[in-house]
Amino acid sequence: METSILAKAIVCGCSALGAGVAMIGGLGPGIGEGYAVGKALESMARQPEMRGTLTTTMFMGCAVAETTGLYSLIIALLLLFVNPFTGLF
Amino acid sequence: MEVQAFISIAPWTMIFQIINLLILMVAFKKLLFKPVCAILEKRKAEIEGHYQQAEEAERSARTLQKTYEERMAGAREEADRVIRTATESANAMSAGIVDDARAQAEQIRRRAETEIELERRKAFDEVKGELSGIALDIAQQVIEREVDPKDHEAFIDDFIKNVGEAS
Amino acid sequence: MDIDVTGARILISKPEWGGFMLTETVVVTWCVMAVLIGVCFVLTRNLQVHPQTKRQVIAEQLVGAIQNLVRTTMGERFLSTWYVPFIGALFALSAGCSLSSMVGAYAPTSDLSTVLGWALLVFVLITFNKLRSNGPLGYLKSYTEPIPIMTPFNIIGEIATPVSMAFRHFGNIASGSVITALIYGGLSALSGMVLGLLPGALGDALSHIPIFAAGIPAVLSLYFDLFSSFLQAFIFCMLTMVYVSDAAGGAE
Repeated sequence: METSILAKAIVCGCSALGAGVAMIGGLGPGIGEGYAVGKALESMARQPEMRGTLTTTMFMGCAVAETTGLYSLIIALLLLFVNPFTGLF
Repeated sequence: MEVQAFISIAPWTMIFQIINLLILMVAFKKLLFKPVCAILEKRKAEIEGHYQQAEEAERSARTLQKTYEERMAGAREEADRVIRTATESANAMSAGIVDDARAQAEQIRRRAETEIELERRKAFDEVKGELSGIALDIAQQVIEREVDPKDHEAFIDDFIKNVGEAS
Repeated sequence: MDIDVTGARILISKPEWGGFMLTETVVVTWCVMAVLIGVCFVLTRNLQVHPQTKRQVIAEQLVGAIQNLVRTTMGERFLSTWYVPFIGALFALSAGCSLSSMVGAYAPTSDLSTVLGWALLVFVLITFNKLRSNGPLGYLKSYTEPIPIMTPFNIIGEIATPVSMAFRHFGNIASGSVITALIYGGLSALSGMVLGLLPGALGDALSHIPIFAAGIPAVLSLYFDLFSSFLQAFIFCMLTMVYVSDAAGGAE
């Protein structure tokens, strides 16, 4: 009984740690999206008449680049709120 | 109340949501796209009709203008022709009038000449009558006797004839 | 402070019918659909060749916008097909479901089953278009290109398309709702703590009312609900159109 509670506590703690580590994956999309928005701004400064198309395309690209970050976010949420590993003990 | 886990996959929910999406697609097609597209189509047809009408009107206006111009040209030609014929006829008429006048004048002149001849002859006859009397008187005076006119008629005639030839 | 981040509530559960259950997700989606169909009814009532009302102008603008989106992204050949109302329905349902969290209802798009269902439908469309443009053999052969070794990766890539679409949409909306819930809970706890410092019965009474939770979540909800909803709906539709027209590429 004692060990089971201990094991669960360890699993919960490690899950929280894992969630935190998983969110390091948020770095990549941040850098990538920043780069994309910067480039889009440069293009808009050069060709202000293309503003609409550039904005739409930029949002599209940002959303696609965001995917990897969202994967890590989902892993983090999974570890935090669904606790898939506590059932093992 | 039971709840699902935060991240979970429920097959029935998936099926429901796919069917929901398809139902909404059909509803959009029937309720929104079909009527609006029909109206847009109708409006397009109407605008097309307006364009066609305008084109037709322009075409008919053009034909009208052309016929009008043709008619105008025809009228001008006609006027020219009328003027020309009028001038010609007037010329002919004036020539006729002049000819007539000339002929009349000739006729008048001839008549006058005839009259003059007649007058002359009448005057001559008168003068001849008077002259015979005068001659008789002169002769009476010259020979101091009464000449019987009956006796000397031949003589007088002869004289008069000589006078007539001399005049 | 008790914050429980859970999925949809299960309203009817019949495990004996092959695990049938009716969740809050589906009910809210039905409500959103009813509203959308009602809007369609109102907008297209009494249409005339010469528009007299604002309603008709709005309806025509909506139809024109969706047709224009499909024309610019997919090309002319998809204009007279079912893709136009499909894209319209996808956008409206996705945005409507995400926006339903603004009126306090559970957002059906923060349930993975919803978006995964839609993504699977899109996957079926993509596969159907690929089969039609390449033929069954050509479709199978496309997995072994450029070299046969790549086959497993191609299969993973093929499966990743709907999965990434679903997870992107789900992740955005669900993370928004999680963050909103966390901030709401945090602000409630903060107001309970701060107002509990007040002396006597007044402090006791006020500490149970989450005053701080009144204004700030509204600003966040403006981003997470309004902006993110439309953006994700738009992106889901854009990706659908791009993938489908790409799959049908050869069939000019």
